[in-house]
Amino acid sequence: MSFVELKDVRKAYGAVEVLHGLNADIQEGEFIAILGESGCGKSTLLRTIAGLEEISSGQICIGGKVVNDISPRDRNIAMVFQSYALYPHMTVAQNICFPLQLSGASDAEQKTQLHRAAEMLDLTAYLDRKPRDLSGGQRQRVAMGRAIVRNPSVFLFDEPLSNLDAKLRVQMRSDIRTLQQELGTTAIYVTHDQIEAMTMADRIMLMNKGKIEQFGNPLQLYDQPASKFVAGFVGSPPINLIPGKIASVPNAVFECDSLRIAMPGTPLANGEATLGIRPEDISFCSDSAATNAQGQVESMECTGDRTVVDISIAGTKIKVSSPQRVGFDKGATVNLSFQPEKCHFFGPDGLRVRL
Amino acid sequence: MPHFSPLGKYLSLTPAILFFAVLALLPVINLFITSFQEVTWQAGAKETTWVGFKNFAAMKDDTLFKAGIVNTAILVVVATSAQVAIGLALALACSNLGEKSRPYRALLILPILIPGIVIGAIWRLMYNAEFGIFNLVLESIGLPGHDWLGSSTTALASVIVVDIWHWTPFSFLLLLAAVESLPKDVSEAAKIDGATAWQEFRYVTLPLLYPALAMTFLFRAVIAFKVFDEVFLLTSGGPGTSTEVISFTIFQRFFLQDKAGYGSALSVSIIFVVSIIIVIALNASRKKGEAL
Repeated sequence: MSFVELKDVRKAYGAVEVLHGLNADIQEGEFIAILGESGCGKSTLLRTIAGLEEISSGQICIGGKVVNDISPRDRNIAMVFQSYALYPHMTVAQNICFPLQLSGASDAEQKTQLHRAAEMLDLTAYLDRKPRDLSGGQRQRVAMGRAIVRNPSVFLFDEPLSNLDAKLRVQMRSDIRTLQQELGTTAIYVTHDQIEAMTMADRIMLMNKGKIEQFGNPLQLYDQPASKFVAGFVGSPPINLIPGKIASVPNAVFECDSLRIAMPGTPLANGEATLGIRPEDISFCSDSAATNAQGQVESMECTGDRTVVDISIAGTKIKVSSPQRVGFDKGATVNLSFQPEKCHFFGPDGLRVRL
Repeated sequence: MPHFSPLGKYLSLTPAILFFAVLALLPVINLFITSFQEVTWQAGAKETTWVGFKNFAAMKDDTLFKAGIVNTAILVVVATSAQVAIGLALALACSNLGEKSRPYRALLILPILIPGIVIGAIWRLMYNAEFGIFNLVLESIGLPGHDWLGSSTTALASVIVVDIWHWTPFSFLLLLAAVESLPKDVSEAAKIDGATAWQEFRYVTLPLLYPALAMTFLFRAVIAFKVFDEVFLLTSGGPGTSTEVISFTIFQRFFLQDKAGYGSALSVSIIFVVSIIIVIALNASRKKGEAL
């Protein structure tokens, strides 16, 4: 049963529409990441779910109830802000207990909940401190504590890790995911960081210009991108996009200069298309029969476990990520083999070509 | 930016220091010296006699000064509290209205732009027992009129009302800047945490505004302590001593009765009291600010 439901949700500021009729079903207990570039509408969507922004039309349902006209405080949600939004004049304990205090919980209940949250988040030693005396990671955990004690039906996270350093981010990623799984609470997590989305979410809602480009599990987005945008957004180093055309002679092939890739099925139409292939799905080969294309080496980066080689083929620059520590001279000609089952084809409209 | 040597930096401060010394420090030092003297005028020339603490001792028997102290204290506490409270309410209302509040903001700061002499004239007319607007309203609903400025029971309250009207925009402007600079996400967090509008104000907005409120109160209190023009124009301290305020007492003693030594002693005492209040208030405000 869907727990959070978006039905044709639209949001406009004056004449400018920023959310263009979004539809999505989120199941109870799921961890959903809303992923997208800055300005794509992901935070606006989260804020409409929270009730901090009104929607222009459509419906938002939480727990089977339409919440369009329900104030944030009555939606039974909790939100962790990018800035943490802690109350600077309150101690850590007061910050965490504030939602309980507002709901009229007894002192004993507040104390129990406070200690449960503090232990869970390793904050017991800091309960009497003010937010300004805490590190970024500790503040983030206080914000989490404040969210937990409400026992909400949905957790909303608005880029909560973006102000932390890289090492702490990795740690907090796993902490948040573990905590969410322990509590079993539905979570909606906004991020622009694809690694965060890929590693934390059950499903990713990838947004572009106020629309949902694809909503699926992380590997679906990676392995079967619904559009050129999705293919380009997910994956690091990014997918190679090679413009060319689809021809049927007699079987369907993708052609770009001397590059020819046999297509595994028959597309609905021929014409201009883009081939998408991830850097790790291209390999160097010496067997000319297995060679799909030849290219010239431009530069190389060794990351330790892999070597990423920039290669120019038919005027297009691509990246090849090899698990071997290869060594080529600049300008050297190399034979490349593309894994046919890992090739994605996109039509002129940017959408995946159905085969 | 040009680099100055340490000496250059001190030299560059010299004009400001000289300016401060000539315009502020020297007159205060002169006032301080005069407060220990008796000043008389003989054929247009000033004659001073050193009298020690005699001028300060005389204060305890000065009924006008005592009335001035009490009335000023009442005016400072009541008017300043009201101005800060009303200013805060208006600032919150304008901030909630956002862009739509622009015309109201302009209207609300008008009183502070009107010269004191005009304010005196306007309010004397409004308070007039014969044809003032207040009495016209009272009479229109069948109630008897009242001599607002001529009655010792309402004169001080009437002056306080004018002071509130005149100076609320000052508090409004300072507090509007403070309200607008409050972090929006903290307010949103309170809404999500389950706070009603009142709870958000009581537990989040108000505590975050304490430093600004304290500062506004302090500024306003210091200015209210020096109130003169409103009293001079509306009641001249009367009837009796019911609207006598310190600055008016000093004016009377110093200029009208030509007691420059005693007037200086009164001034020095007031500077001393106000300085102590400022130090205490600043300390309290700093502690509140540090708590944030």
